Amino acid sequence: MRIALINSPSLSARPVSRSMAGGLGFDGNEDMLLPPLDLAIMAATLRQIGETVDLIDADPLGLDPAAVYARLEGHWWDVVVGTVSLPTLDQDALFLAELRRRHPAARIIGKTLVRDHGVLRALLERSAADLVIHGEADLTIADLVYGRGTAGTAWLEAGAPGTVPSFRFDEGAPVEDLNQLPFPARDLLPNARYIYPLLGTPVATLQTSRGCPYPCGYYCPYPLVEGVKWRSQTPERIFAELKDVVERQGITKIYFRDATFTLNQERVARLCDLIVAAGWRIEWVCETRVDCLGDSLLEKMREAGCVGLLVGVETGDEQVMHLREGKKGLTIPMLAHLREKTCLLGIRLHFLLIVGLPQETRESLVATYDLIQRYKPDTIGVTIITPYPGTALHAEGIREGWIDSHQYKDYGGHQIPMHTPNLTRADMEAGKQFLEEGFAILQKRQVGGHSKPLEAMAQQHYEQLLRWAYHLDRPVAQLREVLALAPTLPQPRKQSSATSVPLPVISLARCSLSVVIPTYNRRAILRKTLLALMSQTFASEQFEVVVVDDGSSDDTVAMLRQFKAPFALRVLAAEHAGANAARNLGIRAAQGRVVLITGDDMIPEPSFLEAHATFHERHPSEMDAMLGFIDWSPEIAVTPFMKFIVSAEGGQQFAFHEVREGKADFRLFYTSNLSVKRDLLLNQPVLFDQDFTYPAYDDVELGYRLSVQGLQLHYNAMAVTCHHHEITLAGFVQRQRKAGHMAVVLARKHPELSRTYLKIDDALNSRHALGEAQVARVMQVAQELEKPDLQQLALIRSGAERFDRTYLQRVLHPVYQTLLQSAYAWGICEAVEQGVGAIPSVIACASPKPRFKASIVIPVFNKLELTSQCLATLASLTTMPEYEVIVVDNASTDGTAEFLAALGGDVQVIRNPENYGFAVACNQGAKAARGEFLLFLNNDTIPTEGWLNALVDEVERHPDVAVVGSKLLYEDGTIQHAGVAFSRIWFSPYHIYKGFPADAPVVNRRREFQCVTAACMLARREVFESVGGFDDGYRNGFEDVDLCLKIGERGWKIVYQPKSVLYHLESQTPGRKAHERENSKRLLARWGHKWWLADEDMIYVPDGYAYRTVTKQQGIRGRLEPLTDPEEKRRWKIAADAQIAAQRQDLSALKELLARVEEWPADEWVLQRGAWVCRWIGESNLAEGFWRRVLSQNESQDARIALARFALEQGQVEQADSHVNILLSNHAQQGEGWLLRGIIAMQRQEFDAASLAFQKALDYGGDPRKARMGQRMAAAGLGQSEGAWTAFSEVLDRDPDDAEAAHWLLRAGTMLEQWEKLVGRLQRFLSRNPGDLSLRFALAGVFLRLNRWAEARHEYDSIRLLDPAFDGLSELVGAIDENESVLTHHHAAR
Amino acid sequence: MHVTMIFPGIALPGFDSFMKKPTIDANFIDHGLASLSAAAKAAGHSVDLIDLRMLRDWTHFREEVRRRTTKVWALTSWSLHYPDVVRAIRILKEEKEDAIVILGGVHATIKTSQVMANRLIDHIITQEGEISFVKLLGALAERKQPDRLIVGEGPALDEIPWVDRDLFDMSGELATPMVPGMPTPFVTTNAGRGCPFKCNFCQPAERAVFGNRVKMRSQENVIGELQYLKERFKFNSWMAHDDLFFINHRWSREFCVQYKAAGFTEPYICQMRADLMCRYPDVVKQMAESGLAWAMIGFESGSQRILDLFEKETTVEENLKAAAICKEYGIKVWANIMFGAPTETRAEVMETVRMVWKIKPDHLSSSYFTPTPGSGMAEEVERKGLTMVDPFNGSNRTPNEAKMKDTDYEWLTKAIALAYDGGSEERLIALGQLPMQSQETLCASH
Repeated sequence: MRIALINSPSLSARPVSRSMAGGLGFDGNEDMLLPPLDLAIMAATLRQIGETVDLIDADPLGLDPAAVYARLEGHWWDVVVGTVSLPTLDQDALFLAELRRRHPAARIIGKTLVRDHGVLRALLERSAADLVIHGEADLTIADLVYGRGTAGTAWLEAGAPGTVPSFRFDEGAPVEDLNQLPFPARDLLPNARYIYPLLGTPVATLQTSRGCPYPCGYYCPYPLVEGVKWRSQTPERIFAELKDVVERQGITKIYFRDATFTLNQERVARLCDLIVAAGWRIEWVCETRVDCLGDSLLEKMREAGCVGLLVGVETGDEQVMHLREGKKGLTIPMLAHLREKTCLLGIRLHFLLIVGLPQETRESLVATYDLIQRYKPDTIGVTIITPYPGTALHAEGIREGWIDSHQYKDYGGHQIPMHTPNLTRADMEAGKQFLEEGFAILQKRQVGGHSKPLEAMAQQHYEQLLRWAYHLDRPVAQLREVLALAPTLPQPRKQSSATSVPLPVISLARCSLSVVIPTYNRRAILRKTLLALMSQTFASEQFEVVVVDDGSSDDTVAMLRQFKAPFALRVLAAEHAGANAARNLGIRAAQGRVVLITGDDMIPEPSFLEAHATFHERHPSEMDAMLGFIDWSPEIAVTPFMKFIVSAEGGQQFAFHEVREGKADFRLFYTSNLSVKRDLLLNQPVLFDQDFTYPAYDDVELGYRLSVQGLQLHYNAMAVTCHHHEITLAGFVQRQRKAGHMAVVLARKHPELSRTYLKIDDALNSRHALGEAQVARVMQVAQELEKPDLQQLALIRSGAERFDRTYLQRVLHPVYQTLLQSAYAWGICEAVEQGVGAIPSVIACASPKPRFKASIVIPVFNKLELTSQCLATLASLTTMPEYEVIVVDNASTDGTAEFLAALGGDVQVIRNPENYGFAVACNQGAKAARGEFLLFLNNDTIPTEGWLNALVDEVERHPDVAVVGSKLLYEDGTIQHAGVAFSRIWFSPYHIYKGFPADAPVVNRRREFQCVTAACMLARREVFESVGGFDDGYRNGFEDVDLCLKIGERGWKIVYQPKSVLYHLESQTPGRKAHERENSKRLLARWGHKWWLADEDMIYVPDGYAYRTVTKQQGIRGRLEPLTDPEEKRRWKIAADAQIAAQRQDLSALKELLARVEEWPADEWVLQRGAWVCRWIGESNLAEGFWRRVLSQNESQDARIALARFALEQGQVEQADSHVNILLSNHAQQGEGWLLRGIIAMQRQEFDAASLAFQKALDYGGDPRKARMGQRMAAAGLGQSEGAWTAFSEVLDRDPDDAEAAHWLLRAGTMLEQWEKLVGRLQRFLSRNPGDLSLRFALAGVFLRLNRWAEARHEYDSIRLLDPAFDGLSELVGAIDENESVLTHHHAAR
Repeated sequence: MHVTMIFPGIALPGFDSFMKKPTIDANFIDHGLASLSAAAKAAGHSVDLIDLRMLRDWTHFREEVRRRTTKVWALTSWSLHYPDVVRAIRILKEEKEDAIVILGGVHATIKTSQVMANRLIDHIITQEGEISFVKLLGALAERKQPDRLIVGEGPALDEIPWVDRDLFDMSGELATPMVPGMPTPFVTTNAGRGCPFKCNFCQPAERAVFGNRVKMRSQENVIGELQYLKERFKFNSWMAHDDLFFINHRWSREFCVQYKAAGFTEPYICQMRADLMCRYPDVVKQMAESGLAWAMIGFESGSQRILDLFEKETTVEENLKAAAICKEYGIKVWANIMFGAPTETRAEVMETVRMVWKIKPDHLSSSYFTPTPGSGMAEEVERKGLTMVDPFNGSNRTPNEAKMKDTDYEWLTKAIALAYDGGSEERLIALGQLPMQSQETLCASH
């Protein structure tokens, strides 16, 4: 037979790496050409049986389809096999079809790893191939080409004429023992042409294992294609193949193509030993998981020539990573460690990343970006999530409608065939691009050093990413952007005139500039300003400078008189009368057509005057004025505060971000960099109004008057002047206070400005005016915050600059904002009190859109009387910030609808057609809300005076607080809600201090909780939205708990504020508690694994209470007991501290506290909790002490079981037995106890008793798997070997790594003398678990029985290599030697 | 007479960057100032230097000024440096009212009127200064009243002393090879002045400084200096800092012969033109054999129209061929590429990206087209009102800020990133289909 195996050509049309993506095919290029191992193995198998095989790997040979056809032409072919990949399905089908046409007599076979029936059927139909191989045909290929079998193939079977051929699919079986595979026929391949980017060329590939048991199979093609069962070659087998590659083929660059090469670390360690011992100088890379790599193994691998690791990181967002669908098991610290280790060892690290896991968001892509920048992989590979048919992702994608393309050409890893709930396809593309560009920049920085432009580029890129990720339209006060907005060119003019050619020289006669500078006691800086005016690009003959000295006492005038200026410098000395008087004087004295007003501390850049002059040359109209840009002087240190006040958030000074399309409004009429036609100014009856005694709002006032007359204020960023004035926080707070005074002056003059712009009313609301003492205190806080240990914090996150920015925006800026606003409001109040001017009542100017401080969302279902009572109370309360009310009616039937319809004012009513439940209603209300904060309120509450102010105050003063809860009282005035604690016994949240008097000190402290009730809860709107609001999977219960936990998880604080008091007529709504069970289940499923949430002791103990659990007839009840005894208090404090440490995830502290078990309080439940915590943190040995103490308190099943286990582990069978006896005498139906009894009986070889005990365990609900295993063991012990053999074989089939079962199987097999069968079983087990030496020893023994000396010696060698001190080795070798010598004698004799 | 020179080169690397940042801007010496210093010292004057790159900030500069009793201060300036020069002069005059400030260099030559308007500058020397600067110092020493504007006399290059390497701290340059990996110590030198070509992103600015004729030092003179440098600094690699080192094939052939004859084998790097390399591959070979390790080639663009627009007088084919020649002779390629030329379309940018992929340069140096003051193209775009750069503040070519109106820089950044990472055609095409950031085409004016 003559057989052609063809790796189908793709390079010319669509380069694809066919062996990538687990063999489904992945978009590739010329830089990555890997040999078709599957074809080469088939070729080897076929040659072994004497067939003639031609293997054509088209891509590396540069063959296009035509060239392949030409190569096949002129020969007779019995069988032609061509490979088919998923992304190139169409193209490959055409290729096969053409082969079919050209070789009508040959069997045409497709070879693919796609298993999807639909795909295979389409392929068969289109290609007209006889057969498609989809399974592992490495060993069965001969049967397939001879037509003797169909294992692992699919074909079409023609039925009756006229019917559609039916599709047949034979599942086939994977190759169990990979050791049996022949070496791939590499001699048939163009080895020199294979190339892999991390290694170069020539490269050979080896696949030493198949299958992958990890849960990433959700999206990963490996488990899909190769199965979840891991099958591997032995180190010896791999080594033999390597030897062939290295010594025969002369290839020293190896790429191990296993999904997880180091899954069995011992296997790889052994292989490395073999490689090192061979003394080759080879270089290899492999793909693996971070959690399958020990340090010592890595070192070994490096020694054996490993130069690169490909690790699947997938995403930088740990949360996404740890989801079932992510990369469970990987943690960032592990990755960091690996990076460090590989750096030390000189192993290159390649991160495999995926964009678009279902939970991924834009933000999580930022985390991935950060991860790359931080851990600096040597290379990365970013793929877009691809729903390979057959994966769980594919199924879910179909179900959820995520998949946008069903065309397999889009499944090459770089196209975007789907979206996810959080990411659109465009998002994925952008995300991938950001990651790749970011990495390109990173590489450039690493290679080319950190040049300024490169750093700028990197920063710019990161900013872009953040802007994209957080949907920010504009960066915060990015002045560069503002600069870019500035027009410098003549716009198409309204009146076309002949002066369109700009004149480079501006004549004095036509446009002379007068620079007007008022000055007062600033001699030195003024001189700097004048010097800067000397170094202008604008000729000094063309402007004059008018300096008006406002009665300085520092000899300014003398300095001015001596100043030798090349321009006309006119000095006017006046009596001290304020800047405005001086400025007005200067304007009147100016001779130029244009007056440029600037300050004595404004140092102009060289092109400053030229820019102003050019502007007025081009805008001759009187109504055109120009505003230039004001920067901080490079000669002063610019503090974060100074940056803040000119930023968009602050904007108290120079709010250039307000410039729109090159125009500024009157608010930006700054006298620091402003030029106006002189005639316009002189026509004003009043210039700068001297009623403004402090320089604030005086310029705005004039600007306002001029703008009313039609003045256009153009902005030109080319005219830059630098403010040489260091501004301090304290100074500026005073300035803001004075600005408040001046605002009142302005409001008096232009009442229409008072509400919209000056916000006088807001300020007069007492809440804003903090008063002097409070302002001083906040200022202290701000000053303290200005000097945090940023450096240390920056260490936590790399990239100090970025961290600074985050810190500023999240922490400092809100404090500044509060402070400056308060100072301003304080000033206003002060001015009003002092009677600076009577404020006219609010002018009737239509406010554009009502903005509310708070939106009160009230979900209701019936109980009209409560709703109306609640609303009426709300309306009657007086001191309230601006609020609106949104009532969401969940289809009430009691007239609520009519009542609500009749309401007027700011009440929005949303009516649902049916009862959607609490969560949906609240979310609806939140969506409709227009206020700054959301307030969720039950209709069965009665608010009291000041309730809302207290809540709003809380969030406004604490930028890190996102949720605030109120003090809720029962009608009798006792506490209903004062915060929520999580029980340590069950994971259940409950209200603390229920029924306490309302004035108890413990409920009148502001304190942080993990959770507060939503009966009355204020939430920051953006935070609420960012976590997706209430989870509507709950039905009227625990929505608030879930919300708070979600918010807390993001680092926000949740606070109980007792100043806000309401009465709560708890749970009045019908059906409120109907879903409690489902709700608890959902809460547990979502949060239950976070055992550290339990916090009741850390709440109560500091308050002086212990929460004791007492058992009563009705069940378990909790009781608060005051802690009076200091010793007792100390004990409880340890338990409380342990909770604190657990919440902080401070393991070392936690362990320390757990180790002090004897000092813990004598409370059964607390101790039990301690025991569980020990187990959760993997410190089981510490648990024993806790269980002992539990037992000393009370008889406890759990404690008995745990202690019995401990005893068993330590071999103290008698002790274990006594525990079990007591346990079973108290609780005869304890399944777990019976299981233990069975085990004890087994240890004592009392097989009958054991058998009975295991049966009881089964009956009473013990672990059925263990119980059954036990029964079989007992059966084996009783000599019922046949049954035991079958039973343990079954167990091993299900779980091939169960060592216990293997041992028992050995026992049964020995009794039955099933030596041959045992060899197979043991070998299979050892191929997966090569480190199990006792079974290896047993295998050697079995070989001895079978007189297979050589194999026995091989096993002996293996054991000796792994553990030379293994017990019994010498006896084993003795036996082997003895028999071998006998054998040699036989040979000699023959 | 004592002169304090000021080197203002902080525009790119910033203050306090000398020996602290690994870039050449932070560490190379300035040959212009060093040559003037050599000339002044030869005439018996004493010279010292304030290198802004070694200072902390402007306050530190102020302290340095205050510390000195110098009366005559000399500064040089590229256009890029001019704002810092203005600021330095202002501080100088704030501190020393009677200071005499002399400004020379490129910016003073091509933007003379602008510099003249700055009344804080007492004397301005345009073009080459070795002769005129010394004459000016002489006049000042004799308390004469020299002219404010002095047009420099061009010296014969073999007749002026080698540049004064004691003026600068050489340790920066010695430790900073042009390309990371070139063996250190590393030095730079100039073999000549001027350039006969007329690429309009540069010319006529270059000619304004050095005149129409290209002047080369004799090979003996250059080799002599190299021998001196070898002896003094034990350099292991060097750079011909000329705008174009290979201009005259006869000069270059002879240089190679003499370089080898003098026993030099040290690798060097220099600027080359693709067309000349194609025309004289044998000279390239000879240079490679003599030690040329790196060729910095201005490929500029993969679009012939853009090359023609620049009057580059090379072709895309020559670009590719020149790169191939380098590969053949083992010369590493430093590719200078310009993105975002006026009127350049996305398709043309993509052509350039493809060209980069084909060239596979050993180092890619990308820049945005920048209307450099004094160049023909700058005048053109200024006339059309397309420039966004500050009159002189923006002549920094590197891609981190926008230079031209109506140009989609976000898109260009992506294209450049693609050029760097050697992405696929598919990604390039996808890039081409991204929506525009600005409404116009890439560069709308024609």
